[in-house]
Amino acid sequence: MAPIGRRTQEPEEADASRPAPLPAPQSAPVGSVLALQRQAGNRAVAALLSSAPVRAVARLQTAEDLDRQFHGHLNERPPNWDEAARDLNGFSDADIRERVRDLAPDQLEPVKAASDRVNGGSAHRVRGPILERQWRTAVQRRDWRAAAGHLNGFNDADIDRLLGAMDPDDLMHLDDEVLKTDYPVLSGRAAPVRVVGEPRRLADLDRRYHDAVGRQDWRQAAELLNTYSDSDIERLAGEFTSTEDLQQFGRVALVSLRLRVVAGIGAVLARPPHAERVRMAMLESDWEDARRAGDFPKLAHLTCQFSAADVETHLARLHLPELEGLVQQTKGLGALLLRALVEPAERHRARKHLEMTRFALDNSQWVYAVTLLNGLSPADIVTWVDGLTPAQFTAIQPLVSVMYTDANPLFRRVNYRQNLPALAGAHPAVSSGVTPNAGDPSVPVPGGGTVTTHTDDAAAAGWFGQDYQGPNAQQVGWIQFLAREVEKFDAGGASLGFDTSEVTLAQGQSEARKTGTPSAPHWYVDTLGGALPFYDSPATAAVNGGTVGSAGAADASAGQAAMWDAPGARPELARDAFDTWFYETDVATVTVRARFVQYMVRGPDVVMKGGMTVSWTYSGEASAAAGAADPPRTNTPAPVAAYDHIDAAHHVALVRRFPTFRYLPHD
Amino acid sequence: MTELRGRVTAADAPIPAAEVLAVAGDALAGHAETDADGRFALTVTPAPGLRLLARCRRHAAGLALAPAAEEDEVALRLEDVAPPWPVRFTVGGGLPGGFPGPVLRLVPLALGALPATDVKWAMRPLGERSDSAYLSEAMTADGLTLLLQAGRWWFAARLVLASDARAAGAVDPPPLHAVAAQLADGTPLDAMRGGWVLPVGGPTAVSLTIGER
Repeated sequence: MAPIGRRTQEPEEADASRPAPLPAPQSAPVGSVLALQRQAGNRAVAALLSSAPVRAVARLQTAEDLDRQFHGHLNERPPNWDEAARDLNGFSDADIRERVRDLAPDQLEPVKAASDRVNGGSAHRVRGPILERQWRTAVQRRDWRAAAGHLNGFNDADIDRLLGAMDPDDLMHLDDEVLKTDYPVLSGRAAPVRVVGEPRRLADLDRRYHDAVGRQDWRQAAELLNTYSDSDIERLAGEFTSTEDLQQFGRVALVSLRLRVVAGIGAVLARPPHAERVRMAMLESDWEDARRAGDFPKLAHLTCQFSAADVETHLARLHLPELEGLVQQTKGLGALLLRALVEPAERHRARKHLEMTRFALDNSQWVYAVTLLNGLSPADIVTWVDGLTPAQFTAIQPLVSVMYTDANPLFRRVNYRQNLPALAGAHPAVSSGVTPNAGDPSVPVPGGGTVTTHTDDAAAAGWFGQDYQGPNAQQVGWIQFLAREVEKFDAGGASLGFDTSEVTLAQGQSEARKTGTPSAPHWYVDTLGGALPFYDSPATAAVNGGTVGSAGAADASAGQAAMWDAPGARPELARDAFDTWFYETDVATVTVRARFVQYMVRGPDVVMKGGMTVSWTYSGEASAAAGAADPPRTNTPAPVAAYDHIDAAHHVALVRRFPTFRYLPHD
Repeated sequence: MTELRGRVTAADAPIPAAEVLAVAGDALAGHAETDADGRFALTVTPAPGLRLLARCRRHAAGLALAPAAEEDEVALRLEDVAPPWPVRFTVGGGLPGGFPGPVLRLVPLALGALPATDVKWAMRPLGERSDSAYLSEAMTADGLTLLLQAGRWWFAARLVLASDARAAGAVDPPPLHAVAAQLADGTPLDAMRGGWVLPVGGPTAVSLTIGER
């Protein structure tokens, strides 16, 4: 049976069961009297007209006439429902109820419908008694579905009145039907249970609600909970210990449009302990979303919202690229906003990095291994490269050389390790025979020991030297670079410029050297070494008039690594400078300079830098003539100091002649 | 100020690291160096009779000259002044064992029909440089081949092996020089200023004799 529609309660409409107020007695015209008759009934009209003119009364229908007319309309074939309803409305309320009681069941609906059609604002006088008879009949027959439908047709006061008169057991049956069907007014206003307040009914409802919750039948639970008061809804929602269940309950209630239930659950979820759980669940969800999207700025900020312990567990779940992405966010200004993430993110990244590095090496994933090795800290690179097995080293060495430049820490360490066999015994014990002078004040060396620059030797034989004394001296080597200049001066001492056209050859060294200027020097490694660039390294072949095995003068022992040099004067360079063409300015003096820079190298590191400029000044062409004595040399030192790299111009010269030493740090 | 652009070539091959001088009369208005493709750009103050002169001082040696033109890229071709010819220098009689070839030093005396006043620009000091030779190259023991512009060139050769890094007790060998020079057909070259005068008018071979003076 379709639900019975509830009538609209219009403002001027009185309750269905309430008698309409009688109009005030007056001298009424016939039309008005008939209207009153229809509205208040014959007896009322008769009472009203007791003093009316006889002629008018004679023209009025008596109750018997109206009753006869009413039944006549009912008995017409087909029945004249509209006239019957109009007739019925002409009776008093009591008479209406009496005649409604006498109507056949199948006449009730047609008369009620006809009354609604024809009786206008007083239709309720007929409708109310019919509806109440239908309701009582349904209750009597325990036809709860029909009863619910009829009950839905009453106004709120009548609903309360009728329900209040019901037997509690009947009320439970009726309530079941109300919950099964769609009577929003009935269920929405918590009728009938709350109105009646029947303890058994409440207990039964509680039982059924909790059963539904236990079954996680959220739809049924929402329906049942919706019959409670707002405060009881919150109370019952507050019984939930599982935030997840309560959230699911709320979602179903929302779908079911049980908005009071939704509101109550929402209020509970907004309070502890659910509020924190909801926040965490949402945070967790957002965190996963950001992770899936690779949105590292968002992921970083969300991670910071976890507790310290949760930060750890979440970081532990991330892959290496994700951790790298997070760490990147903590750099620069990000460190201010993500303070809680700076240390743990880097720690997890480092841990994961090491794990993956080990994994890649153990599984012969060489390119990945090289990439990961390259991501290690410089200190870790040293540890890991030195710890590679020979097979692992052999596998990665060519990849490193291809993938990275010589400025790269991994490149440097790998190539240093590659060079270790050549470096073994690079500085054997040797004595130069040079007698040092007192030297300049010693300068401390990072890692221990001192370096003393000797501008001249004690025998004034032209030697200068750099002298390291301290621990691990046999791991220390000096690499010297040389740039030559030839500067011309006129008679007034003004510079005429530098002769950059000279090319010199050095005994025992194959590389021809060009002269340069202070702003554009040409640098060369200055060593007799054939395989190694150190000053004390021996020649391995007889080149440019040198002999195999000859090496730069040095003093090497367990506690000393000193180098000594006394370069040749090169008068032929001055001679060329003096030999001007007819259109050139005459040259009065020529200064030939040899600029030296020395780097002290220990293992793969540069630790000190020093320098010395040796110069000869020739006055007049005769001073540079063949057979003339060399002018006095002047050795001018540059301060020796701690230094951690080789300057770029020197590194270029080093690599040009000794490419395997490109790993030495440089700018 | 105006910007001049151009390219320096020899037989259509670019000449890198050539010095390009902007010359107005006897004054130097500006200079630049060519890139790996022989191209250059320099900014100068416009002047009447402004010319561009390229000093080619490497494997291909000589001068190229052209009027400066603002609108177009200036083509400075070595062969427009005089064609370059291969000139091969060798050491006759060989060298002591383990010794390299000597260092060859050259200066142009005359280049094609270029006036002497223009040739002088070859040795004109530039910036902080005031060179004593236009071109210096170390020969190998097998010799050295250069592309020299047609004309007359002065050259000298010497082999000085002094110590830079010195071994204890090391003594430098005596310097050696080119003590004789002749063309492939045995024609001796004229001596001049401690060197020799080499006429270049086609492919040339020069044989040097090295010894102590």
